[in-house]
Amino acid sequence: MSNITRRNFIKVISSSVAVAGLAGFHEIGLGSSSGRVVVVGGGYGGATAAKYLRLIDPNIHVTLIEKNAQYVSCPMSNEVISGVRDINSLKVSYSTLGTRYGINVVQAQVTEIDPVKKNVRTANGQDFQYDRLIVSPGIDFRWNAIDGYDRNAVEIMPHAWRAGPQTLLLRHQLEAMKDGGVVIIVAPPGPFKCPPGPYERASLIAYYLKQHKPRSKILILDYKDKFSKQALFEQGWAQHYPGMITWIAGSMDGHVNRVAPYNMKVFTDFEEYKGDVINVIPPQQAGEIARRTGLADKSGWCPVNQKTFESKLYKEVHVIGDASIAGKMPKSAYAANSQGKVCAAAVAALINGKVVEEPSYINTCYSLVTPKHGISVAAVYELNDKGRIVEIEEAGDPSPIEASPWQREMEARYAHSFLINIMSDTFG
Amino acid sequence: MMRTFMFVVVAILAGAASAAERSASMLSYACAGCHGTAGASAGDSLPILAGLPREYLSNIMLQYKNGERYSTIMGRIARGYSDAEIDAMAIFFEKQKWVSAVSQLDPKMIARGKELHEQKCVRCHLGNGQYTEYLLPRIGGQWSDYLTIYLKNVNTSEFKQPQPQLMKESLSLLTDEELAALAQFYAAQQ
Repeated sequence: MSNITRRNFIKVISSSVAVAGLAGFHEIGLGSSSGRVVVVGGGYGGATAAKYLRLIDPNIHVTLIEKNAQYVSCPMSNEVISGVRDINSLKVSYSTLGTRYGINVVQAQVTEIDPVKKNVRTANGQDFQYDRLIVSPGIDFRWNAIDGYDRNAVEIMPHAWRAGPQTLLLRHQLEAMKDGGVVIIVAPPGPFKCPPGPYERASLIAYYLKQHKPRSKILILDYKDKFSKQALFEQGWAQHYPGMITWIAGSMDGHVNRVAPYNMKVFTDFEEYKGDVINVIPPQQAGEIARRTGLADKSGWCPVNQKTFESKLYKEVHVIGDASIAGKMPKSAYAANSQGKVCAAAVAALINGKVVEEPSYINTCYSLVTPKHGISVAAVYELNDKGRIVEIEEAGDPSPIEASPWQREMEARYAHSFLINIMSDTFG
Repeated sequence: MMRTFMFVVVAILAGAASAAERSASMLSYACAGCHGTAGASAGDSLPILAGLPREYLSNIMLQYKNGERYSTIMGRIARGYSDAEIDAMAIFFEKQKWVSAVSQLDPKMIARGKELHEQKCVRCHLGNGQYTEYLLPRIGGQWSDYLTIYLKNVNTSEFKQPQPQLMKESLSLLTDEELAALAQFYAAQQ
């Protein structure tokens, strides 16, 4: 590059466009492997793993089985709840994964995984044989862990913890609520998907209420005594929504044991609360298909080799994303995307009889306090000598507590661009 | 093979502390969640990295890492890598194909930006900002929102942005509106 002269640079630029592809993406695929990989679940983890497998080794045949025709992104779905974003902007189809990357995308519900026969069966009776399987089922709720919170209760007290109809239901309830109403958010115990999510949600609901129903209040009843980016959220609440949001810690009787959907009440050990809109984010566990297959342990989550994401319970089955126990990594879209790549590289190496590369992982979580006030937490991870994913200590940390409005605005703009990039890196 | 060889040489030269070597592709894949697959950012405030010179990428990341350049988040992430790993990622992204941003642009702003480019910037940013070599990044076809944020930060003493003296002087008298016009002109050079 450095010996290009000013005179011929245009020629060099145009020719480099012609020859350069995705350099460095095809190292492993020089052999004539014909491995078959099936990926179950097309969220940020599974779709990324499928795409990067094809980028790393185009000789591997990849089938992605996903029950929905399109994906709806959870990141930024709190903006739909606050009324500043159209949910259609969060939808993406699986077609590019098929056309651009040659992935066999199958829309079907997986009903059975047989890790001995190495077969995946779908509800319509199709069978898919694999050499290696990647399971990325996301989370499931622990129904009735909160007494009374079951599959029927979600129509009255939405969880809105999967983007889609539940997101819109919560939005519509807020629109219908009177000024002066009380919104209750029940925040779950860890580990759960999107640790800062409940608090970003409170922020963006407050953003809506402040403009349209300013006498209203938000009450967060929490299982926990602290939460992600707490100082930054509390600073933002005091700045933008003074007196509107109250957070009650678990040890201060914030722990909700029971709900009564038809009375719009929730109960802690000592108190009962009546809400006009109640958002219950229930306790969580690994997705149902992972548990039914026997990939989860007593904790409800899936133990894996954190270098390859191969299950500790079944060989040649890998579990990534929210369902996996991935050391210090949180359950987030970025983490699932990063794990999908590490897993793809490992699976490609294992299929080709190569040494598995030393992994590298990142997580970045943006949250919005207002649509122009962004905060973030980031971390870089490595595998330690005990095989556990740990944070590299020199890196990471949340946004600084001392920052100007322009810095917060920049982080909000980066948050919005991050959404576009993670969606395109995963599905496009 | 060549790349691996180069990485090993660089790692030895830089005295990398990390015992377990992580490949350039493994390291670089993790960047794509914010910067797009192979550095082809699709988000308007985050820069395209693909095809930028190794020296530019490596230099700017080391400045983020060492706190010599202000960032909201890049420095927090850059500190997670050895200098050799940063250089390996710079080599990886240099090899990727540049994909110009497709921005919504205003013809009047582009025209104003062109005048300013010819008065202030043309001596270094050759080829209407498409030329890139060594420490000079390609800016033609870069995202206008990213360029606007960047230029505004250069002009704000609060945010440390090391720049050639000539660039600081050229930008110092420009209004925010003029900086945005410049950004739109370069974004249009796809």
